[in-house]
Amino acid sequence: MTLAPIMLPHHCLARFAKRAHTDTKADGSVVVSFAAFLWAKAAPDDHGLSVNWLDYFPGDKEARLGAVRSSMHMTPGSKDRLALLEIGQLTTHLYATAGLNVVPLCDPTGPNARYPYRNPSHAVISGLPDENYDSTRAQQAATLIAKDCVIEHVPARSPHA
Amino acid sequence: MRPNIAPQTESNYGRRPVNAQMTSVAFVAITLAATSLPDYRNQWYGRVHLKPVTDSSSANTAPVATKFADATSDYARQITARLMDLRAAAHECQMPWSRDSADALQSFLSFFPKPNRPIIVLTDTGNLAAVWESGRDSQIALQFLGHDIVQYTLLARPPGEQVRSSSNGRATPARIVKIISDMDLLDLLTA
Repeated sequence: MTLAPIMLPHHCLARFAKRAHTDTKADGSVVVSFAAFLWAKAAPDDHGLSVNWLDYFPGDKEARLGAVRSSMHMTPGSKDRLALLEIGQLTTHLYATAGLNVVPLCDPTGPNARYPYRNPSHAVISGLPDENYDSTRAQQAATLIAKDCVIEHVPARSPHA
Repeated sequence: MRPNIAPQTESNYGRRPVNAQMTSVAFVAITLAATSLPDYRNQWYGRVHLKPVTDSSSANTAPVATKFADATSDYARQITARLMDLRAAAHECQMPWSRDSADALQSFLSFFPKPNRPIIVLTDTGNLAAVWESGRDSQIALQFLGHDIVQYTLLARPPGEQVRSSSNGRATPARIVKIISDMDLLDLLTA
């Protein structure tokens, strides 16, 4: 199946960062580290780093975040985060600094035997180095994303939960 | 796990099991390669993906053994508490945990007399990573792979330069300190 690229530079993607991938600085601010952006191909149909296309949904930012949280069908912990990445900044920056041609692709999931829930906003960032084969480049790309491309991060758990 | 070695019978008595022979040969070959070349960058074994030595008792959230000479210092307590927090997170999220990597991280941090507390995280492969950063242009990211190998990504902007430079690869901890020093980033590590 061919996945369609998301050619909308001002749209945002949300990457789930689990508690072990984040840390809290002495001043209390939370940091999402490069560990959240390391990609290792897990299956033949795994085309890239799993994200959610935030602007797939209508409404204001809070409504879109709510829709993404709901579509993920997860039960996040209080320290899990959603890191927001702007597509244009991500693709331009990784090409300029690491020569990587990354492309966000629509990859709606389920419901099927492997994944029982429907997630129309699911997408992947393709073109990142595979940690299984080139882990130094994978770490470099992940570091560049974490340092320069995360425009903000928000709790993965709904504030109303 | 016990190796699959045939029991000693009259017909094979005195022969070394084939599995044991092959293991010994592989071990010698790897040891020679690693000691003859100190820098792991651009070598074939630098591209090999090192899987963590998973602690089979990762479900155990017992205290992490400290490597610091002064285990009562604020810094040692902060690091140990953070490692225990990550170990609990690994258990909760069913992530692997490499004891080798945790030991290597603590050994590296205990090397500096007045270190800055880094951001410490756990990767999905079970390795510990430490990150120090300052402003937009300087960062040290180290992932401790175990077996005395550290995978690094360094970002720095030399004074007077417009463009930020970066360096990444694998090296021994001692070599890493030299690379960090050459990129003028030692200030990030120490207070």
